[in-house]
Amino acid sequence: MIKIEHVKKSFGHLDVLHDVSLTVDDGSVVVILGPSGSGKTTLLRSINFLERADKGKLTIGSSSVDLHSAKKKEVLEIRRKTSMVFQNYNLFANKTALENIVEALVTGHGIPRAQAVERAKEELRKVGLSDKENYYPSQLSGGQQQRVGIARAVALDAEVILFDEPTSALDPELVGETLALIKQVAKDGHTMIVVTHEMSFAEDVADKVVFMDGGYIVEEGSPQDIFYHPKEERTRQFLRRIIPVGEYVI
Amino acid sequence: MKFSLEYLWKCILSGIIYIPVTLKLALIPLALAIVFGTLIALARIFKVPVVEKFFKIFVAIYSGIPGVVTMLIFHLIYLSLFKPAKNGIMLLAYFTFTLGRTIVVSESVRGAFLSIPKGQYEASYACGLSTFQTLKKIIIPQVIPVALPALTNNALGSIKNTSIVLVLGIVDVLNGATIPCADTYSYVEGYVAAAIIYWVINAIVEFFLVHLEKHLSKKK
Amino acid sequence: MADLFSWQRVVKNFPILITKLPVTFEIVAVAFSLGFILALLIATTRIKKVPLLNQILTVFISFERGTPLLVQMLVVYYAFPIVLYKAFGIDSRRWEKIIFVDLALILNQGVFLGEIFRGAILAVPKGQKEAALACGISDSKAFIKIILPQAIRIALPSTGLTLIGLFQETSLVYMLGVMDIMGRASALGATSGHNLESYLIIALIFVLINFGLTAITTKIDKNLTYGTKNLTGRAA
Repeated sequence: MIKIEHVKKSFGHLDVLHDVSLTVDDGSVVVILGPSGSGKTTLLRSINFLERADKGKLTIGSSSVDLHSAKKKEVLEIRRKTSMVFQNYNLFANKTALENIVEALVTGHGIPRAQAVERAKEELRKVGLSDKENYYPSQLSGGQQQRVGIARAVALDAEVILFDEPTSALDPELVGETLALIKQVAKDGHTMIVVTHEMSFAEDVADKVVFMDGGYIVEEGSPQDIFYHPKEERTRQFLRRIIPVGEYVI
Repeated sequence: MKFSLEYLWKCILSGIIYIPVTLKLALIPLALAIVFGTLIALARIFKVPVVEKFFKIFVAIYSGIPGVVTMLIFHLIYLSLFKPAKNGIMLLAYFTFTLGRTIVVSESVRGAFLSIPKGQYEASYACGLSTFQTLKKIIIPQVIPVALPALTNNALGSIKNTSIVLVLGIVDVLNGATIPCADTYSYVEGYVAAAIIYWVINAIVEFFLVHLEKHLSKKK
Repeated sequence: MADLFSWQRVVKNFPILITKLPVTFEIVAVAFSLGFILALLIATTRIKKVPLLNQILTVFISFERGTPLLVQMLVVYYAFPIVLYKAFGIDSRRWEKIIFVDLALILNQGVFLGEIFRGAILAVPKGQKEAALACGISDSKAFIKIILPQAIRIALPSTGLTLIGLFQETSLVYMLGVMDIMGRASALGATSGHNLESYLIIALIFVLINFGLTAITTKIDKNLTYGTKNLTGRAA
């Protein structure tokens, strides 16, 4: 189980996260929705210390760390228990698709090289890019790069996979197939926290939907609850703007 | 081995007198270089038939020769071709610096022009502007902010480059700062003084030019 | 005019001058390699903003960039022995002149290459480091395996240009009395009274070195592109 407790974060005078707590059960998929500036990406990045929170506690499985005062060693440990899929893919530009995954396994997780290569090849096969093993990211399309990014994150066998708006930078035609891939990852039983704007994906795949606004969690519940029976007015406002009138009965 | 602050000051004062010499040797060739260099750059960009090929080769060869060597070569040619005139050596220095700077400036300007996307020209022509109008109203206003940092570098480099007149015996800041050293036989104060003077001049000119850059970029 | 130039002297002087070319190459090799290492140290120190060192470096860099190389060499030649004597009691006045020249060039290269490296490291997209960290790769390993290789590729064109410039700058060292190709030409001229052929030979040699190096660096630039067809932006 992943537990995030009372996270607070400010950038200068701007309070981005006020007091956010979240629980993620093993094997479940949590989708975080909300307008820009709601703090959802900051929350996600605080988990693997790409942002350093001002306050908060993170528990993964049986070990806890303080999100503000964690030392280098603890940070590294957490980063080895989590993996991330980025909005801009962030594949290592100087490594091939295969090497991107192998490097992460060998240098990040200390897996012996032979084993790493095998696992990497398997993950690439699963995302359908075996024939592009030796291509560099600059030779791959955006959609392909993201698939490698997902393969890399999955290969790391993390306790939770973090997705930071994984389809926001993709051409509309590619969004669907990428979401299908992410759905498959969910089906395989991985614990996932996904920040996204894709509503139907959220409804389809999420076990829990969390709506954030202005640095707070406004409402959380099952997709059914949130989309069809939102309790908070703010949630209703957001859904009304995002979803074409008539699709959901508010 | 001693270092005397008193003599250092003496050398600084001695060198300061010759700052105008250094500045003139730096800035006059630079000004001429900007004019000629831009013309050459334009000739190469618009691929003016003979001129383009000629300068392409000339620039490639000339920039491969160190400044000191060209200066010495021109000096020798001057000595055998011309009767020693009063300001002859000085003019020689001006000539050599102007030639060298023109080459460098033409490359900077050419680089700045090349960084303007072809689409800017195309859109302008498509709107019915002539080549001259395009250059005047669309291209050059965009080239200037790009070329400015390079020209700042050029100006600073020009000032530093003047120190090689040492080989000609012209008295500039470098030579001037070491005049007192003939008495003490200690040259360290002289060269440190020269370094300080150059450093300060550089800092002032750089400050001024960076502000000019910012001012001109804001206007656009 | 009559006796200004003679092909005979060209042929005669060439073998004499060429024997001193290795001196130039030696100076360039020492200055570039040690300057390279110094540059890496300077770049990383500046990026990490190491407290006291950073300020000292800023002043030093300003000096190196604000003064002519010739002056720097003269200052090192005359002031370094004093500093060394005051600090360690070593009398270095009788050392080979080439040492002082090497030192001045190493410092100069260190600063200019350092600026290039610093810019290149900062130019690597932030996401590369974040992805590495997110994969559990440590800071230092991320720098060595992901950032540095990409920074090298970005820095290559400018580094090549700096090396080419370094060759040209070595033409100044004869003014301090170093017996390189220029020094030899000067000596020849002093005895024979004819310098033009020697300087023209030297000019030719430098032009050829320039062409050679430019061709090599262009080729290397092309090959280090990780599959992309064209490099974006030649940082010059």
